[in-house]
Amino acid sequence: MSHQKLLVVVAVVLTFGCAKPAATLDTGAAPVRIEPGTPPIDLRADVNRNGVVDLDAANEDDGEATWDSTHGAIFFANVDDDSARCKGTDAAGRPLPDATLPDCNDATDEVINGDDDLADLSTLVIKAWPEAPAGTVARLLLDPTPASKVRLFRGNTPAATPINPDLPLALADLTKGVTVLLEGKDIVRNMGTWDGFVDVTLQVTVPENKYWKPGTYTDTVRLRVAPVLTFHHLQPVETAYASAVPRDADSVKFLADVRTALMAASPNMTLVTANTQDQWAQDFFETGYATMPGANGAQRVMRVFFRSANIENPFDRSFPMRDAGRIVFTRFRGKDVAGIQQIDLGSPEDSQSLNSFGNFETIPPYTNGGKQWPLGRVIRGSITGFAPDQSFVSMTEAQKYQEPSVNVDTSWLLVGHIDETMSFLKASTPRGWILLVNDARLAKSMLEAEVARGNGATPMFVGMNWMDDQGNEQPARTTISALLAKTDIMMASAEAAVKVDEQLAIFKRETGITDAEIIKVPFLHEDVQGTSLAHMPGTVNMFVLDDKTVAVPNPHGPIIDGKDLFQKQLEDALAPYGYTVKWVENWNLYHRLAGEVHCGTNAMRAIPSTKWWEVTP
Amino acid sequence: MKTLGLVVVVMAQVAMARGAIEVKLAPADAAAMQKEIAAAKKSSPLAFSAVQSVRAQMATLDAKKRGRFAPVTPRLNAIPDATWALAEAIVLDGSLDPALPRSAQIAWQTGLLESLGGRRDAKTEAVLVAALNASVEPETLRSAADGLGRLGTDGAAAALIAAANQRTGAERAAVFAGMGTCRRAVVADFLAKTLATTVLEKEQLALVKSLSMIGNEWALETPAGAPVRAEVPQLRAAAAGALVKLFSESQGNVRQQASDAILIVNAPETKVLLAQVRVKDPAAVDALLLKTH
Repeated sequence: MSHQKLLVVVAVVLTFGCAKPAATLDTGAAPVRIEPGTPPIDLRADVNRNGVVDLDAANEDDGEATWDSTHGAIFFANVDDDSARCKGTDAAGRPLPDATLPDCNDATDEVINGDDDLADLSTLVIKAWPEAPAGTVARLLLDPTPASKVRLFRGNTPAATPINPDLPLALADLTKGVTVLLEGKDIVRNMGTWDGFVDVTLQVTVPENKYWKPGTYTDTVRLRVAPVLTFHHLQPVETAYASAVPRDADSVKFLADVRTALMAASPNMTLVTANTQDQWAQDFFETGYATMPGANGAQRVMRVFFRSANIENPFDRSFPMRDAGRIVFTRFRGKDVAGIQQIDLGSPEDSQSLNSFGNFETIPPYTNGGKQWPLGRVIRGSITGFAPDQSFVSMTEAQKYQEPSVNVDTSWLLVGHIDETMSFLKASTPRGWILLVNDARLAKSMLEAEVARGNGATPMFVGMNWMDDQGNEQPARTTISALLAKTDIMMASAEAAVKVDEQLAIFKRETGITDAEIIKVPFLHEDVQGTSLAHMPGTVNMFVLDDKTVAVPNPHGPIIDGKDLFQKQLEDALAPYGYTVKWVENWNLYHRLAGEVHCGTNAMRAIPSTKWWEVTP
Repeated sequence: MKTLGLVVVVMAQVAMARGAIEVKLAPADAAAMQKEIAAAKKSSPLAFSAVQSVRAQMATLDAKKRGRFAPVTPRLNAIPDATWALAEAIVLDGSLDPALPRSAQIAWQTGLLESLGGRRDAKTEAVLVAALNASVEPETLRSAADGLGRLGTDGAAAALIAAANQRTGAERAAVFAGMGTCRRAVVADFLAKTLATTVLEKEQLALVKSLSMIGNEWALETPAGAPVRAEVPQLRAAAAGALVKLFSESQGNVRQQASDAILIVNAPETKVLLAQVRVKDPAAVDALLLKTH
């Protein structure tokens, strides 16, 4: 209850309790004077976050004009497409341009698109004031900036009609009470223009009358739009995604291996494939979620897909963006699934790679130095002069709960993605997770140890080729000694060792992680155009399925004592944490093109039980 | 039969029209190359078709790339006996379909230059010097310097230093960034002295990168890492000295990159050098000392 309303109640109690009338009541006996009461203006929302609007609960009213981790109402940005009305094409069936493709969603019309859409709106209630005198005028007010971010409906059914804030409500809405639905029209894009909060004010002007004090009264409720959060690896996969590259036998093999890994983890995990030549399923979209309080402690959920802010065709006015990312709107957007796009078409060409979502990972939850990150924290490659699209960064920063991101230097990598050097696994440790990080130094020492054991002639990359399957394959086969003798590979690997150390130093400073919580993942690099690329399959670029299964690129290392040296190392390192490694063949499809398993997959994961609204960002 | 020189000029004009590099060889060098190519086509015909196969796939590779450029160098590196097939592609037919994106053109050209240089065949020096002198795009210029540097010859070192002195702006920085593969004392000294007088951050970063390559500890351990083994101590000392000096005098990203480069070089004298500059910033030096092995 607001301070203003508290005064109202006190006034009413005093008025009637002390029987100090200000009007006369003719009862036939001696006239009794009744003091005019203060009008009981009451606008309510789900301030106590129990999933319903309680008209009588005090904690639904207390502090309703403020918002923090203990109380405050929440609403969704209603940017899904519950009725599947958005087709991604114009009336003639032509694909919508990139700029307008996101413009169709449940919030871009002024109707409620059925019961599913109704469920995505937040309820406010104007509590009935049956004694409101004739001539009383009530309005619902919104501050100018948030007013463009939300829409109000009168009613509580799909037939509810939009409220024009310029017009007063009907008197009956006050005397009988009315349900108002609030629809968020967008997520927060930039804190500089909108912080995500909306103050809805019920303003009531009471005319001169016998029983109520005349004047203008207000009651304000503050709501916050649900932020879009991204998943970390501690949440198990529910739906996996991968590209099905048409007429590509390697893609068929890859998908088969991924399916096998998924089945090993859980029969409930499904694999959704997208028929596209863009095989980098990790890169052209990112999964996320928005949640708000539901009934009985449950969370209401809206799944979210971000389209990557990649410029692919800068001179194409209609379709400048990475084409494969359109799938966010043409296929994924739907019931309780939103699509989000944010791009600056003027962002630098040479840092476009950083806008791919292989360069956007979420560190699992942690606490460090008194600062808590219970929903995890974004990590990306970004330094001055080599940074992702700043409009997209501003948008993710505006979600607040997983930001500011940890930024490390990936400029030394050809691709420049954070997933080339780091990954995370759930672990039964106080922290709850471990970091996996590339270590070229370890790869070199492992190979040198085998040379010392007399295994220098042992072949590696057996059966693998560096070319494609169109008649000009060149064997990749080499030996341990030959690999160690390659000047340019050792040069790049020495650099990688130091650069990863630098990344790790930042990571340790930001998270407090210790060496005991870090698994080193050995592979060597090579030099391409003065930058670095995994020469051996980059096994840290893995697909984490759940708390016991990971899909990892087959390293095709030397067979020592009947076992692949690098497979054994990783299996042994992960076994204490209960993980089974499922090896995936990705040499041809991904490794040869500067990627691995993680680059070729994506996932919608289980919603965390941690509720963002109970967190202080 | 037309002379190769004429062919080179004609093809170079076509190449220029398509945005490729215009490689000009002296007549004697052109004749020598023609002879080598002819011999290679007899001894290793598959190498030529393999290089052309990669070229034919550039549209696909570019479309499928993850990141800035398609990794062409590893594919070309895998083709055995392809030295003259690569040289032919650079000099005579380095262009791609002009309709292909710039990223494809750059990936192809840089792949050719790096792969040719990586074969460390001194007979290709004239080709790579000509490519260095003809290159304009920063990425191509860097790769030409990188490729030429890998030869490690006196001629390569001289050509690189000359190019660095002649170029200006972004082109100069590109030469700086690539020439560190030339692990010769004269180049190390040049880079070190240039770094001491350079104030432009972009050039400083390019020089730091190059010094990290020229003194790269792991690279120098390999058989082909140092063309003149006796120069190795001088190389590493020059690199370490210049990098420690810059580390002590810089801040921000330049200092960070210098710090990384010092660790990559990991010269024997690093700790002594750091101790000498410790007074300027003891905490930073101590932190770096902790990372040295």
